[in-house]
Amino acid sequence: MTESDRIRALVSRTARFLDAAVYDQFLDLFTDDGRYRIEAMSAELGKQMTWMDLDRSELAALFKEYPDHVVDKATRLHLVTTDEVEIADDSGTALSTFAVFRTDQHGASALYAVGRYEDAFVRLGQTWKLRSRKVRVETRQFTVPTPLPL
Amino acid sequence: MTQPTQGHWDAPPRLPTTHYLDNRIYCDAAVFEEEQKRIFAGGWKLLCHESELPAPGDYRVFTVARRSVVTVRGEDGVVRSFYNACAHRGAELVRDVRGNLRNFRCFYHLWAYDLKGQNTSMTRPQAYQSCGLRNQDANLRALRTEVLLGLVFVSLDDDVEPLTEYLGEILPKLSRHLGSAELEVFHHHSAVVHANWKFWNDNNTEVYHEYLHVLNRRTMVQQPGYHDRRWTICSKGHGTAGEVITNYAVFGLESRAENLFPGVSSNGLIAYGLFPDVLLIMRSTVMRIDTMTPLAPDRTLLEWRGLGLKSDTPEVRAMRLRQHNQVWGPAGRNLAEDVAAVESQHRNAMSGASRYSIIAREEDGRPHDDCFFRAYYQEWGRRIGRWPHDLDAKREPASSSSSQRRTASA
Repeated sequence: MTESDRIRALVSRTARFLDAAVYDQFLDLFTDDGRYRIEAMSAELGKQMTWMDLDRSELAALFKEYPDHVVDKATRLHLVTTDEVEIADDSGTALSTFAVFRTDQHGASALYAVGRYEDAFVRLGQTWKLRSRKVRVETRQFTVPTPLPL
Repeated sequence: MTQPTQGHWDAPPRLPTTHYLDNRIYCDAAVFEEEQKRIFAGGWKLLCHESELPAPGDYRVFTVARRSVVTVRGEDGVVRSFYNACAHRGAELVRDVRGNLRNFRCFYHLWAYDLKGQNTSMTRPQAYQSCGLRNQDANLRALRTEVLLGLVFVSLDDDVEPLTEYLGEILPKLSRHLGSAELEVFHHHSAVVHANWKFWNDNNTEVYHEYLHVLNRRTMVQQPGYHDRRWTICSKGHGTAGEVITNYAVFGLESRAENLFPGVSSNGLIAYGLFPDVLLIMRSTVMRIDTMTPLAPDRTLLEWRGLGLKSDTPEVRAMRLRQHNQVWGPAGRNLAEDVAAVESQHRNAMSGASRYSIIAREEDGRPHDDCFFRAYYQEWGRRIGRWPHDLDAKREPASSSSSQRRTASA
């Protein structure tokens, strides 16, 4: 497996862990100083908006409290294609395109969100970790909102 | 234990008629049409904040009572609104939700209008000479538009009551927050919920759904002084429950004691409900404005704006944005819970499984009293000519328009 393949596999795991709702494993993919951000372009304001900007500890707090909330009962499935990977020594970047489908409790599936991941990685020993994920989401109307990462 | 039979379940509650709602008001197509006509076309509708139209030629497009409306700042600085429809054959004048233009030029046949809505060009005008059609006969349909405290309102009714009269006693209360510093919208998002618009407004109107939100339960309802406030109910269906001090630390969030929003205390939260569809809410450092566009009896477009001060440094703006997103926004903690609640209410109202809503809490005007809920529906019923407790009962609608008020007084 090449280093590029390892990064592609890491991107795939972020999606799989979110779909499986194993948020501790999702967190483990980040460095200790890792950061997660969601941005969207507002056609109404003509401005870039930041909808979420959390460090790893804030993400952990969100996941910890999440079961206390009234939550969406549906499941999610990410489809991700990693279009570009660039590596320089022990750091790397990847650009991916994603779609998230939502399946309700009756089994009806619908497209939930589309966008791109802009990821930055570092290699710690033999393991690649996410230092930052910037989600540039195209979708701005969500049928069922969620505080969970996309 | 006695469980209600179907007959009891479908019968009106044994309460004063002001203390319950006939849930058909949320589902009935005729009621929806009357609301469109008498409330959303016939009253004042908050469109946006004027910071969304900062420069001459800046425009935004909205839907009011299902009609496309374009609101533009003129070269003279005045904000005006028109139907987004060419006087020629009705094509939309602008097709983006926002932008900047020097004049309106219809993309279909290139008729043109200035920013005051005056027709300046009909292509090959000599062809209209024989029938006598002149430019001034083909201007845009101008709509009553007013900017007050930075809030841009429109009415489709030329004879609507003055905006200051409509807002009445709530206006000086709003000016404490909106009148002392220049504000700026930094956040906008929208969602279509599968519920009647009034269910969402109810959720904004009563504050005891804070039990729904784990964050609000811990940081507000369980805090000292929460129940000491009293509702202020203003005429025309506006009101506020007053300010409450929030303890963010119990939820692991930072205190909000610096760079406070005008008129709000350290860690304070205060909200204002404006009839028919507006919530202005401030959490110490940041303001949120909610508006609604009813699309159908069972579908509502919701829009949320986040505001800071125009004078914010980048650091202060980042702080406001962070604190906005901790609770609000599409990825905020509370929104998903609100949507789950109102959509479930609507499903049960539509199916008939829930026939009446009880709004009977009486707590001496304290925050969990339903007094504002009841006042809102008295205004709603007055405006559309319905009794909110019984959709079948006859009633004449009131009029808010100046011409009809003049007729009545004469």
